[in-house]
Amino acid sequence: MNCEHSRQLSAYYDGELPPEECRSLEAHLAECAVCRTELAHLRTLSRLVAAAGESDIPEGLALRVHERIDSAGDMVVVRLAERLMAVAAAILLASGVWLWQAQGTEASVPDEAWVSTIVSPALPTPQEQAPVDPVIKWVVDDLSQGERT
Amino acid sequence: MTAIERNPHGAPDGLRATDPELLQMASEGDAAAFHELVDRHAASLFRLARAMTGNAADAEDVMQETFLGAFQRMSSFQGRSSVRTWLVAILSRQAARSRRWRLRRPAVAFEEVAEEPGARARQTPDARMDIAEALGRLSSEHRQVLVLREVEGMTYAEMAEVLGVPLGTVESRLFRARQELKEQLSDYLA
Repeated sequence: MNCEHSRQLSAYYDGELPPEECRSLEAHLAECAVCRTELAHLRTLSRLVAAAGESDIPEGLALRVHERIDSAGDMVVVRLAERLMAVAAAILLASGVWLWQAQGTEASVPDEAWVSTIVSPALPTPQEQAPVDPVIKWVVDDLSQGERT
Repeated sequence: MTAIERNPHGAPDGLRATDPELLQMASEGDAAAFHELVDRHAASLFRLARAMTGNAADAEDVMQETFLGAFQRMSSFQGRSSVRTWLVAILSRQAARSRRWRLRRPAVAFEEVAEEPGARARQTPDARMDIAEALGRLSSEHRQVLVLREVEGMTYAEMAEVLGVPLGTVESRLFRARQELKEQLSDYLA
């Protein structure tokens, strides 16, 4: 059988109840046998559970813990060395790839003069034009007259 | 910088580093500082692990994993709580992972209780077995708050920090855990 104040008793027993609620509950305890019994049960349970933790540390356990910590410390150094080596390897690989790409890129750069020739070929000036052959001129003129007639 | 601490007899005990100082030294490479921490807390953490797991073998595993985890994650300690609370938080998580508690048969647990050298005999073996069984039947969450409160003596605020739950949750779990335990150990509640 539980009183409506049973839930408060747990916090009261642990000293976690606010002062005002604490005083109110203590006034209630003076009049409620159910809650007084419940409080006694809490004390007994507390003693029983506390006894479950009463156990001497096994002999040699602390030493085993020390040894395990020492081993873990050694492993930390090994792992750090492995990570540094991996980083160094990655840097070397990246440098190698960059150098290879840089060499390949330089060989494929076109000659600037050749590029300009393709993009904008120089047209001959009138003075540079070769003189027209008279026969060719006669043929062109004759053909032109034929089209007009 | 070290602090002077007094021994129980009142006389100065020379220069003795505090737990946070030891942890700081250990994180800077001073292995002896971490070993000192182990020596300070091993016995009490074992008792806590013993209460949480119900047997010495699991308690030893949990304790070793606790200190190993603390050693590997020293940098995670931010000084918001005591070193002790930080260690207990790690231990609580390790104990929750210990599954052998649920697989232990009562007969085996009783044999282990009888064989534990140096175990204090405040109660009869039957009583210790009954308590161990009753605690074992609780959920991990309920067992944790009971043990942290009754064995470690933690406040609700400390438990909330260790378990990472609100203070109201701690209070609620503790109330329900005690109600369950009361039903299982009714023979001991005259």
